Amino acid sequence: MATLHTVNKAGQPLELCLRALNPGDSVLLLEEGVYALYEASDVLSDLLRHIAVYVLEADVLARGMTNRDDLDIDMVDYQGFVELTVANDKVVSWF
Amino acid sequence: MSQSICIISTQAPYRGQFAREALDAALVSASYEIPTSLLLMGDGVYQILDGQSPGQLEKKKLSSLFQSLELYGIETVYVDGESLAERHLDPEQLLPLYTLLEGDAVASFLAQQDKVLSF
Amino acid sequence: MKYALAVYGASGTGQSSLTALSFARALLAAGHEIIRVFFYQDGVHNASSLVSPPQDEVNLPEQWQKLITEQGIDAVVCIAAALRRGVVNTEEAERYELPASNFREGYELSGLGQLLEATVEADRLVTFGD
Repeated sequence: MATLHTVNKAGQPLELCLRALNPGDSVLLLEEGVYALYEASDVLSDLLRHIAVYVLEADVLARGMTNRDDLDIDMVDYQGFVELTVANDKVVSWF
Repeated sequence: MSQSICIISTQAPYRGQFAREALDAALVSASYEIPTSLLLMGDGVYQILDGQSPGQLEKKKLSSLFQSLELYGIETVYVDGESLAERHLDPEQLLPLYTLLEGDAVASFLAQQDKVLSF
Repeated sequence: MKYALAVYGASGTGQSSLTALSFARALLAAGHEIIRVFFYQDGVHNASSLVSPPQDEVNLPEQWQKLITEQGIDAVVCIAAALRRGVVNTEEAERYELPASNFREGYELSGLGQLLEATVEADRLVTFGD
């Protein structure tokens, strides 16, 4: 059962999400979670070795952030968010 | 209605209605005879700290609501061991109605659930 | 696919209500079905008819109501959470002898059981909290 984890902050929500991940799961950073692209880039680059990480475009753009070119993170729009919820068996939200 | 629901509660008690309303959801879920589990993580572990006396806040004691879970068929509350350790809490400081999930146990526990409702 | 959405936030506390609305629109655009949107915790404010932001800001309750009525979505507001926060329909206002009511049309006030029922019935549950 693959799970999509949404993370809306780089603090407690990201930390708790990290210990709930199973191989094959995916993580979507949204709202203030997009700050993790820089704040928690070490954590993300470790994570990317076995977990797919996505970031929500609207929240990146809104905050004057950019996706990291050096990390393999896909930027998705709301349609992509929907597709991720279809591709996984369930969704767990961390906020 | 055999699908399992896990309710994750991550907020400290007495902060608005977060913890209280998460607990209500668990009670209602169990009363619908849905297989229900409650998992405390992060600041949520403070919810079952023993000896809570919120009388001066004029609030109901959250921990006594936890004691009513059993009446609804929720016999144990799952607690993330790492969240306890990070907060320098000993398991003995908690109400004795929990099951500790250590290390990878949180991830494998969540993988078994059909639906997860976070609070 | 059949979706149930749980919305816990309001415009004054975070972004989750807005994220949920954008997600709901994208779901429908992709041909999925929303079997219920359940407003809980501060999310109950999305059913208030008294929210009136300045003209250059989005009126989230109004946008939710538009989506709900145009698409015929089953929108349920937790009655206990709503009463705690002063979101009431005329019936509840009368019952509790309150001086006013502020409940938008298109939503229904009901119990938490509606959230759990939808959770079990849906293929996917997505929670939006702050």
